[in-house]
Amino acid sequence: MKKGSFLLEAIVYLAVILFLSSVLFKAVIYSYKNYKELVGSLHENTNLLKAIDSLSTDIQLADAKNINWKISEAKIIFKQKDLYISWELEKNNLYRAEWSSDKEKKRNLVATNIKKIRFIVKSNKTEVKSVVIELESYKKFSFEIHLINGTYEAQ
Amino acid sequence: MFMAMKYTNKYKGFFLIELMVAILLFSTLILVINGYTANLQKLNSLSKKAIENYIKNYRSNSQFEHSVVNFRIGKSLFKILQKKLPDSDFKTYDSGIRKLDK
Repeated sequence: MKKGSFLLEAIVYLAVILFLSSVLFKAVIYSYKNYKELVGSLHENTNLLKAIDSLSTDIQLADAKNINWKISEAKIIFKQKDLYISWELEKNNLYRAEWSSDKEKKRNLVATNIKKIRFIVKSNKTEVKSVVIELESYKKFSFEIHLINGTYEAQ
Repeated sequence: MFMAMKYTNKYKGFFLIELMVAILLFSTLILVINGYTANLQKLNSLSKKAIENYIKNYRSNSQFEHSVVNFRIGKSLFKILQKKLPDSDFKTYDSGIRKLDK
């Protein structure tokens, strides 16, 4: 074997190995990032679904009397039997809190990555009939939740 | 240098086979990773669909009907997801997984 051909062969092998390892490294890094992002998004979506379900159940079973409702920017407080419940958006995190005269306030983080939330209450003079929720997460959502009390009375 | 040249001469064919095996293993690895993330991608879009379906049901008749999203994923991915999402409603059935909206 000539001296030149050995050098050439060694350079080719080295170049191929370097190329393969750099591509492998990039593929592993990309896959890891992709995996992390997807699992995170899946987690956020599952939590969001649970939060919407829990929020709608809370509102459906709420006390319809107007005096028990307080609504401000991205925050809603209402009463459900002997329990006060609040839903609030703070720095893209949605919190649910509940308390009563004999219970301490318990605040839980229920969903993350929510950009915006707005509560619009539809009511007559004395009672709340429904609540429209405008929510912005990975997409804009808007839905109306009827109070069970209100719905029954309307029927 | 002489020793190296002698060694290369002796195992010239072997180097090529080694390189081919490395390329083969490398592409298999990439394919496995791709399949794995594609599965996750599918799962992610299904979770988005579940949210949209839930809200759609609310819009149409303010009374929520339980909707079920069925899909199948690999067992290893399922085990990882179970660890990552311990509070989720993933349920196994047969060889796959069933995800309930509620």
